[in-house]
Amino acid sequence: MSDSAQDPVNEHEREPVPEKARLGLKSFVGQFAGEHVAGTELMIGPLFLAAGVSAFDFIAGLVVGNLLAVLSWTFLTAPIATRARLTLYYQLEKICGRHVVTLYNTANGVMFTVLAGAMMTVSATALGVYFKFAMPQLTDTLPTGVGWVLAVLVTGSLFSVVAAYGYRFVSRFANIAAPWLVCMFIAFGVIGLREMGLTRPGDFWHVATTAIWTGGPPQPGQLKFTFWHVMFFAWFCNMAWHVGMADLSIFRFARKSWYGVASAAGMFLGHFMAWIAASVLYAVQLRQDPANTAVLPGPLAYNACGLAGLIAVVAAGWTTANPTLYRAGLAFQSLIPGSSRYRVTLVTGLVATVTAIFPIVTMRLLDFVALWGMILMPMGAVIFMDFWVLPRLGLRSNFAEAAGLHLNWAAGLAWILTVAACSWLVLSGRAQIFFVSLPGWFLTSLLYVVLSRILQTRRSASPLAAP
Amino acid sequence: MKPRRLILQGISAVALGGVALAPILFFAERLTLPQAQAWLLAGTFAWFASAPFWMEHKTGA
Repeated sequence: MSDSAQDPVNEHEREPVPEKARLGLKSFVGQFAGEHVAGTELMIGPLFLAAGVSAFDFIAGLVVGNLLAVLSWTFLTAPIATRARLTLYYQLEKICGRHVVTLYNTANGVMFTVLAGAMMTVSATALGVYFKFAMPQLTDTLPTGVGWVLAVLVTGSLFSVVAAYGYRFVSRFANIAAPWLVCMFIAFGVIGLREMGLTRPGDFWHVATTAIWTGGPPQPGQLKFTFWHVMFFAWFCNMAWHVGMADLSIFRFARKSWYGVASAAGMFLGHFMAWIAASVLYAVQLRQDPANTAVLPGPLAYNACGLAGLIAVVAAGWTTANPTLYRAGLAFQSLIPGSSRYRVTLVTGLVATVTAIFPIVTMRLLDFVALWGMILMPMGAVIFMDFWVLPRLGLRSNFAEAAGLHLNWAAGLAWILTVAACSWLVLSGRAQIFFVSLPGWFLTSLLYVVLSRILQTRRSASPLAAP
Repeated sequence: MKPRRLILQGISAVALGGVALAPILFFAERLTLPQAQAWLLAGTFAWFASAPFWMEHKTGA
């Protein structure tokens, strides 16, 4: 999972990034490598195994899906970012008008809040190792007892106060922890593989297919995963950032558009190595006790790496929740001009803490992440079509800015209709959530072009403007 | 480069090396699991005790 931009980007928010502020490839490699080895990986890896995935489907799906994610950053996000050099929000405002940006911020803020809640849940499982309270099982949706509620409240309150008042401190801590955390994930994987009976690296595939990812039925309440599920999940779990264009705000600083390949460092360290390592830890637990199907990062990490493993769980959850809460606070603050960011972040943290008490989101994290991508992806399609296609059709780009609109209803309607269509497909059982975002992108693109032609013809806008 | 900074960087390198090496030695059956876990914990403390004093804080891209 991504937590792009550990620090808020406050420079050049309403202007293209100037030449002198541009950064080299190394900055992006480091940033992606650090940010994609996060607390979420500890939940996502085991959930693949709980979904009964086979070794080939898992490994091949991760390779292809992560490669597609890197290509999406390189060929969709970075080329626009390095040409326009604007933040996502400013670009959206120029295309869609302020009202759509407000709606986008609301949706983004809600998603960030729920994700922060999931990270509180992850960290609270570390407390359960020592305090021995009842922790949620894979199928639990409600809190499992007073001990669990207290652990989440303590963790959530601490995270919220720190996100509000000590953001910079945790941001620095996250930078320091990043290399160590990568090593700890490698330790999870290597120790886990040895515990699974692997004695020679050459036997990896044999152990993987016969003992770890055996491809049996999924755990109760989980969907059976195939190659296609893994591939689409790996591709789209950061969909809001690449196809959805949120990382325009990051890559606008890149000297060259091909710096999008830097995302490979995050994908193949975090969403390949770390997911495999976390998945192996869950396999060790199932081998020791097949009846223990709970996905609890605290006990999983403790079994493999002892106290250092628990520190890694808390650090990974904390360093992910901190910028997530901060961003959620910023998103909500933008809806209430003049409000205090500290107060908004504290309230957001409180809401996240309440969601964390209920384990349903964390135990269904794969679905939640796919939902996030589905909701925000249409805005990426709008930006892509507005930038590359509209001028070639004789239509005007950045129409809201050109026409002085607060709401470009062509963009707003394309977004709402796409989300409605995708939701209908999922809720009616016609398609699983992992597969609707790709057709959804094409639907938004088509709707936006058609509706833009109608809108611009009606308003008799001058058909020029290259991006 | 100042000697203090060099020493701290050396401690960090050893600490991270210990964290990286412990699972490999456990895999090769040169360490038991409790020993490997002790290495990991010692490496963790040494890393966080030394790295903050020399690692620069980079702001986001």
